Amino acid sequence: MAIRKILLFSLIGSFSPLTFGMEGKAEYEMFCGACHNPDGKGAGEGAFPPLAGSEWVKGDPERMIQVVLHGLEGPVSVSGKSYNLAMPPQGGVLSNEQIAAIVTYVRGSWGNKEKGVDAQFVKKARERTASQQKMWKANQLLDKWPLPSQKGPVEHLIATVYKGEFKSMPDFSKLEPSAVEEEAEGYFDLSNLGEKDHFAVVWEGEFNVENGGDYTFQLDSDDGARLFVNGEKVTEVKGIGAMGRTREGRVLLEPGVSKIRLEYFEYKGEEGIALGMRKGKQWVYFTKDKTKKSSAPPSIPLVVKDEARIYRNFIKGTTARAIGVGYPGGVNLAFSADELGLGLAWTGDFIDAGLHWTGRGQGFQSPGGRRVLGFGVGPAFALSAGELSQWPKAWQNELKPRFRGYVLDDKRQPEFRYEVAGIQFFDKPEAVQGRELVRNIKLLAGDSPPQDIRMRLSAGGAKSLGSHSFELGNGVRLEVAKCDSVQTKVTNDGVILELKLKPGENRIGLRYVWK
Amino acid sequence: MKRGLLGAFAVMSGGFVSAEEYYQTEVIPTPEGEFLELGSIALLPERRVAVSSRRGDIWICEGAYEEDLSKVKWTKFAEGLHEPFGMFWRDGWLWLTQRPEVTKIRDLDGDWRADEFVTVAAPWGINGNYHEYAFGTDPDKYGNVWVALCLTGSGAAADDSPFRGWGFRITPDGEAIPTVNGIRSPGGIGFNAAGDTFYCDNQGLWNGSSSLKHMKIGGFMGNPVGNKYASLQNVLKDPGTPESGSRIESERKKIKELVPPAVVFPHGLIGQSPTGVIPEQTGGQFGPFSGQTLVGEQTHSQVQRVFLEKVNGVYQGAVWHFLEGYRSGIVPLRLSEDGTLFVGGTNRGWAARGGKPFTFERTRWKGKVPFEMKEMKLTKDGWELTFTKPVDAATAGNPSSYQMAAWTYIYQKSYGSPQVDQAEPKVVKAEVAADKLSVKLTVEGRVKGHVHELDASGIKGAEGSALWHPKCYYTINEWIP
Repeated sequence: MAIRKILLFSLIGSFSPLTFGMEGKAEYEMFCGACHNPDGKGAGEGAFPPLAGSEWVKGDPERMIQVVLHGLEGPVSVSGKSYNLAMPPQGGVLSNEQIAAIVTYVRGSWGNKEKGVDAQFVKKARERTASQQKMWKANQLLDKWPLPSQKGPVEHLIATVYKGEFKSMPDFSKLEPSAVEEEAEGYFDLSNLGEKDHFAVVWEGEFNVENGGDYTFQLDSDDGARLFVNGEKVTEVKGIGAMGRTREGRVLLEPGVSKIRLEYFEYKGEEGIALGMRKGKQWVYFTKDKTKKSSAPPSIPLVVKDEARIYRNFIKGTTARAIGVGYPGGVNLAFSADELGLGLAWTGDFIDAGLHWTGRGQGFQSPGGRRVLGFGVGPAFALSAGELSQWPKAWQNELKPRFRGYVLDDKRQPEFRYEVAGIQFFDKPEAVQGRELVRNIKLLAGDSPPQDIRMRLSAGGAKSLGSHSFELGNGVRLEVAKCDSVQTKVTNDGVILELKLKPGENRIGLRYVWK
Repeated sequence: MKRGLLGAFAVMSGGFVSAEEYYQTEVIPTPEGEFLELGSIALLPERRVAVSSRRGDIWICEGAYEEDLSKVKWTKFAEGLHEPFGMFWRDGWLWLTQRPEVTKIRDLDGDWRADEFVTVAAPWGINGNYHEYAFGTDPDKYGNVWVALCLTGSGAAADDSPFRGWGFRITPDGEAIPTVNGIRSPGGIGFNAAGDTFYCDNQGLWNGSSSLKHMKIGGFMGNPVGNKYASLQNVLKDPGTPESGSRIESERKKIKELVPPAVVFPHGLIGQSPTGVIPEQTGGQFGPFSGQTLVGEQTHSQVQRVFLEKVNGVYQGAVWHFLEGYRSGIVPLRLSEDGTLFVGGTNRGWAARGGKPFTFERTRWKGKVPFEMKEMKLTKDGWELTFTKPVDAATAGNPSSYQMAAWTYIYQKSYGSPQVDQAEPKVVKAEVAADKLSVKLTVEGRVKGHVHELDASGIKGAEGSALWHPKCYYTINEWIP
């Protein structure tokens, strides 16, 4: 066994990147170049991960061979930048010889100075993970083939720990430390401290920059954190709260050594700290966690001006066939073409399209504003012979629901059209000055309209305020205009209209008022 | 000695073939500040061209046919749509296939802004996964729109997303007819000149290499993941699961609904992500290839050329490289009657050789015929090649001017396949026709179910020129009966 190991090692070593790598150039450009770019810098001006200088290429070659063999999906950080794409597996397509040539070429090109590999090595790697059915996730790969150990950027780093039930940043000058440690690995790292809840820490150290200039620091923490550079406060994440509250600050740095002080406290529960420093596109991380903000998609807010605006896409809190509408004045809604009713309403900003309009557009985007009101999950209509024990989660077949589209008026406000149990609905929400939405629904029924259709107008938890007025939550009041076509009541399922339709045209009038 | 030098010179000049001699490509300027990552292109009356973007906008371009493209005028027709891929104009309506549905939209008051958005049909599910794309055609001869639905995440079939991996026909009044199953990840859909429907399925699970597939009514396109939805309808039956690790050729014998890929695009050799499909029906306005099929290519930013023929009732044929150098990854294609090829591109999420995030371009034939193989028709004992221009009888009649290789791909549930089962077909006889526009090849060692690479670099045109594209790839699914 030992002999075999030595043999394998000498084989790896015997290929010089210069001679063997050239064979891989054509293969690389053919199979990899479209995304990683012929110059290894990543296609699309950084939209795709670079291989030139990438830490993923360094050290044990098996890490990158495994990516080539089985692909990689989900979030991954490369050279300090986050990506969320998918690299398709090539193991079924490329031979061991081709992969060896490509890997050798990549490891020896564009400033990469790693040793090459041969086909035998790729064959072994392939055998070791023959049972791998899915694409790798970054963390699975790094568990098995960690990145070459890297020292953090902070020199002479001292961590001073304090105990106490802190709910805001304490005055450290009045506290007695419980522990002081030197952290040789050069990162602000909570996992070294051995504390879980009710503690605070002050890290102090030095770092170096080659080039002077403006640097932007990004700080994120759970719970609070405060950053000082060269004695000046740069930024702070205040109070108790989860990660995702990233704050930024800028500092002018001289070339050479700067002093850094990071204060942190944890009340209880989850904890986390992330600190990064950016100049141009170049990132330096002071923590092993990267700041959240750098992985978030760029912001592309859809601004509503003097006309309503439509956004059909995946909106968090309602179904996949959502039609978002932003009205001038700051009222917004999402109509669900699956459930044939309002899915959400909110006030303030309409929505940010950055998630869907960059990368591949995966996921549901949260509404942009505040006080998001959900109208319940499940179809907006149900058929009931007698009482329903619970509002159905899926459409009852007899209702034959059908979304028929929408028509815009001269202010670009949509009238939604749909059909339920043979009844045609013309559903027109309109924004009124101030924080109000008036929703007029015209219903066209046949000669003998069904008498057991119920329409749900809210999620459970609604409260009657008397005289056809209801508190829906989040400061929204619903008023149902009195008419013969409906009987209104509140149940555990929410506000329910029992439709008592006459043949031909019927009307329902609804008004939503925000406090 | 003198002769020898001249001969060498002729070879060198003949070897230099530039696309610019035959086709001119120009970038059509798009509205300042807008991201027109194109998903579809439609031709409207009065020489207007409509494009849809992945961001869900529809813009109408005036002046896209004019000489001076700096004067194009753009009007935003609609916004807020959900990633449309497929759009055409019919009777005053713009029809489009967007992620959740087939929709028709129109302007009611003449201001060139759409007011009415009618949902024609939405027979499939979506669940928020970005990969659940829907691609739609123009109307077929019965007026139906064909839709190809990508699998969830291109590999799964989510319970809450019925009919991923299926194809539908949507009638003009909104009836949805289940038409095929077995789709993996389409990149585009369209017709050949005969009006039959084809789509491109990309290499991946159960797809050894990307290919152009015939959407034969009732057919199983090869990926069994979406078969589970068969119980939700009563038109198509579940064709069952093929044996992983087998070959298409073997599984066809067991699963009679399995439609073999009409033309395999060998991975890497002919692109990596084939997309839009259009027939070339300009009757010569776009060069000598009328009647053939053009296919877009996203990763390599190209347009390929395909010859299709039906042999023993099954589509098969050959693919050549054709146009390249576009500025982004090509997805939609549209060819106008006057021979203007409009192409649109995007590289968002999937990078392309053309490094721009998006593009809108047009390509026109300059009137000069390139020396090309035009068709490669299967015969009883080989192939008949036809050419766009007369061949040099000496080189074209010499069997050693033609090199061949053949292989197939593993039909398996894991991602892609290497080239396997290599064979070495040999051209043993090459007979040049009297008009020198065709050559009959007698070939030994052809294999049913294999892709056959033909490298005809050894032949010259009658004027001494080399073939613009000397390599092509023919897929044999059937023998001549």
